[in-house]
Amino acid sequence: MTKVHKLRECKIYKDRAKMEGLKLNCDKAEGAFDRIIEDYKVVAPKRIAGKGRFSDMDLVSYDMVESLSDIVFNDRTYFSAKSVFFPIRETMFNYDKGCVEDARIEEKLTIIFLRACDINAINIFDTMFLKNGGYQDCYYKRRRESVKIFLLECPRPFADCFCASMGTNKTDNYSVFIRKEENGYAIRINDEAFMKYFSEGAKAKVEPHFIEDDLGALNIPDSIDCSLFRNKMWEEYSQRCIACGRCNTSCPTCTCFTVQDITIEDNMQKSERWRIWSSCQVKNFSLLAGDHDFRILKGDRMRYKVLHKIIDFRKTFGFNMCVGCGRCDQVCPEYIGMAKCIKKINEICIADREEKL
Amino acid sequence: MYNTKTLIKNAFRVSKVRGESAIRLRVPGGHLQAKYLTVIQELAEKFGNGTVHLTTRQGYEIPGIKLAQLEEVKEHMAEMIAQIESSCGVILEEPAKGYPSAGTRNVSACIGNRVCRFANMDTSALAQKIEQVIYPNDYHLKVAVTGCPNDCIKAHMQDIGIIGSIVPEYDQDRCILCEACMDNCRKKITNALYIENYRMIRDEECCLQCGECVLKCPTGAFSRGEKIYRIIIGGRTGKRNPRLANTFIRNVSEKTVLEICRNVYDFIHRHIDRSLPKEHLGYIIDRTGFSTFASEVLEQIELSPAEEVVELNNPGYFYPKRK
Repeated sequence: MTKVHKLRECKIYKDRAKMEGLKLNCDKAEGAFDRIIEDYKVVAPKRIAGKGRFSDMDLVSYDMVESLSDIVFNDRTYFSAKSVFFPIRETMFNYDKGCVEDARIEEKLTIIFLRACDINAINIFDTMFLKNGGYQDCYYKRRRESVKIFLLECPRPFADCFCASMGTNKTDNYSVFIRKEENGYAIRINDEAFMKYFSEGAKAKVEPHFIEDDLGALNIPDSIDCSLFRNKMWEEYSQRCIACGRCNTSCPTCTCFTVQDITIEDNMQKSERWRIWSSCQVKNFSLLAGDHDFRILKGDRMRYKVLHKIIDFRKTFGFNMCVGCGRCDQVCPEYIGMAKCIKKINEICIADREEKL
Repeated sequence: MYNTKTLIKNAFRVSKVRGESAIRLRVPGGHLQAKYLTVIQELAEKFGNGTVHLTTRQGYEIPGIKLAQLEEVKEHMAEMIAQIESSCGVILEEPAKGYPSAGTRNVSACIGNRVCRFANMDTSALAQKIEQVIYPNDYHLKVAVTGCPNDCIKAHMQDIGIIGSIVPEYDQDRCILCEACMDNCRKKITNALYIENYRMIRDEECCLQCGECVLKCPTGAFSRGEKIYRIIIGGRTGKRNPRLANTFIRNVSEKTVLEICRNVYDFIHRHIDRSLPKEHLGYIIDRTGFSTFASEVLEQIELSPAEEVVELNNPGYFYPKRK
């Protein structure tokens, strides 16, 4: 039996007064969490010891958690949570002697703990896969439908993040908000499906705190002049970028993938179709037949990425594709900054405009 | 007037300038609390000629010390050398006499994972544990610890070299086949990676376990596994038969590294040519034969199936010799 879950199935209370706020001590909160994980798989920021890129460093990343105490509340994750609903490698369907069957996936509902920027990033994914050209991507949709969102708040901005500038600092698209406090947890329930797990605890007013100001505020240009394509600013990135692709793989809004048909056990009658993440910064992304490549220079690849995030996507869908989470800045081994690049573009646009006047 | 044998025995140098000495300080692992630099400065300015030499083994040598003032100098440096050694777990019985052995052959180390992105281990910390094992190092055993097979500390020039490595772990489900690991390994390392059935295969025979695939991977498909060590043996410079060290054993744990260092030291004790002022390990192995060396050094060490012993085969470089 396939369960059918509707998108944003959670019944968000219209009447804000009805929203339940609670304070629970650690034991009671863990008790509620134990009941939740009987029904849901929970994915949240977790410290994975010794798995950092460099020796003797931990990796903070999204992973399955079995207790609230496993969750890292105060650190940004290295990777975003997108692999939960957009796996790095995904078998779409199997082909066997003329029969095509969609690959089966786990049915269990999944809760993801996300910050406001990352929740807004899911909106970008939904737009790309479900509201793009009148066609819905069924492989995305079925995974997305099983996702419930729990909100994590940001007590302060992280280094290099700029969600307030991107307008992605706030959200009410979440089922439950959980804040870790000194002697327990503060909880706010927005989705009545989760009321039953929180039968204990003292009523309290619980409001998530959202970042109001970025450490470095940015202006996003409304439009650009085509002359920006040939601007010298991109040359710097050709020198500095090493085309490693970490900015793409850590980004909560990069959606590019490539598709491959692969045969199983050398049996040409049997095969499967995969999709696999792709990165506009690594080699061969824009390689065509006859060895033609549109973007050999790394500066060209950077321009393609940045302008897609802040200009081209908006032309089609009306809002920006970057949520300002700052991960691409943090993971770049060459200290190339998205915020810095946007700033430069804005300065060039202002100078152009003044020149024309 | 001055007993040169005693001077040398306490790690002081007999200078070419008559009536002068030089102090030599051990800095195990090549890493030091900055506060000791003040003491080193005082020693150089008060008792020496105001200069300090950084030795090839990462120690300090303070030249121009008047032999007449040596007792005063010893007293001035006693607390510092006792503290540096005790931070490695070594207790100096009588620090006011200086070091108890001529062998200042400092256990040296590259900067290691305290700073370096390539390093697979805390090299200074391991060097300090080795200091405990071989102290006071009467046989002048040269040991160096390097954080990865780049071997910046030149472990290949030592009696014992320790190379820090990791077992890369591969998660096929995270791999986007960007080939960054494979391209890097082919161009810079041993070409140990290739793609088969849309997944990366690591040829374990060729893989140096340097961990660069982990550094290159944009998705964490390659990640850090167990820390393991490669021990290389018999490297040396000198006038007779210089040569690079050879791999002796691969895939060992830190515990085995320390046991082998201890056993090598005991092996030297049993077989060294005592007619010479000192003799490097490689020459001793040449004399005893590799099988004697291997059986004595590995005695009572339980090797796991992954731990692999390799026979030394490097004849080294010979200077032309008069018949």
